[in-house]
Amino acid sequence: MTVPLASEHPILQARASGEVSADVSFEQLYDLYKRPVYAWLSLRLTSTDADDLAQDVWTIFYRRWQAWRFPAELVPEAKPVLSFLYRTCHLTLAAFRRLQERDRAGDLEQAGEVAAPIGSWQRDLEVRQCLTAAKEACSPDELAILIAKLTGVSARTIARALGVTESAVDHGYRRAIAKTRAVLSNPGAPS
Amino acid sequence: MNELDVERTLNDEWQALVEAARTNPDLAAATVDARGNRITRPVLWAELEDVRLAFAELHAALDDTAAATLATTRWSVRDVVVHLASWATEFSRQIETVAAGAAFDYLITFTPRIGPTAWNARELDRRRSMSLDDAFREIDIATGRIEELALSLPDDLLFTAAELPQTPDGRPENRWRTRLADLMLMKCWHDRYHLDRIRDLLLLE
Repeated sequence: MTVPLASEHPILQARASGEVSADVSFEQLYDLYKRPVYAWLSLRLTSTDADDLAQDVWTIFYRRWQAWRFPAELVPEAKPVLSFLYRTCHLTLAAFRRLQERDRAGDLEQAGEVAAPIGSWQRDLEVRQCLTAAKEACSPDELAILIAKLTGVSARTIARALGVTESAVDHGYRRAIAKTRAVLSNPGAPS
Repeated sequence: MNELDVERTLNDEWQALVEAARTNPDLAAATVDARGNRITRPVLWAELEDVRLAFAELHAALDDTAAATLATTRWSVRDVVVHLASWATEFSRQIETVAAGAAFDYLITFTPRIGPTAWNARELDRRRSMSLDDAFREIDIATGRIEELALSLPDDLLFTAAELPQTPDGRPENRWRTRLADLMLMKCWHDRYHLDRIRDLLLLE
């Protein structure tokens, strides 16, 4: 089960054949994937931080897109850009977490985190019970696997991004579903 | 609710959430206008980690036969990995030297469109007996050190042009001036340049 996104294949084909410029095709790919990228990030971050990291993700992609390596034959089902964006979201999130840890360690006198104001998107999440339960129940890696699978990222790409085997991705997905179900069946119980 | 119901509901909720995502309508145009030059610490760390992971994947895929394959007119795949190890350490040393406010007591002649051939040959020769595992370890340690510097250096060091030992003609007055942030991205570019060619040569994905 995946979110039915439009295909990146025609954009890649047009770019590979030189029909469109790198900049125009970049904007087309941004339009295609801006929502899943933002959703991936904002499920784990405040909206301000998600905005900042989305800029980083698209900056990295822009730089790489200028010299994108197209295979001799473009497979219509392949989603190399979606895979790249998922991996880049994962890496920029990891960088952000490390920066946060450094800031916390270097600012011991600070009396804890200031809660970010809840934006409309976060409120939107709260009414979605299953996703909220998944967010509560899953480990960071399980959540990363779950939302990637829901977006249609291949198990291979997820495995490479997380540095685990494809079998571990499959197990992580099943575990995420089971944990979500457990929270829904017994709200408030330890997951 | 059984697990299939949970899966279906998660899928529906995720799809609705993605549709509702509030995105920046100007971001694509702003990124194009900036030519991708809005460099931040997460960008630097993510790029460095990306190549660090790519080296780990290559290491896992290389056996002795593949490592002995000729990758350029003179260098084997092993030689290219050792070459990248020498540059990983050199990039790390240069960044740390600038961060310490110290001066460089050497030059690297980097002939335009040819490269630092004498320096490359010398460093490769210094590592002649180095094992492939040790070369990958050198890359990993140096890249990890640069990642730490990408997160820890003050802004005025990371994003201000510094004078480096590279020079196009051997003259100290013509030494490169570049931001350490850009030097970090240059390392990533150089690593990927060679990694892509090794992958193509060995038919690795």
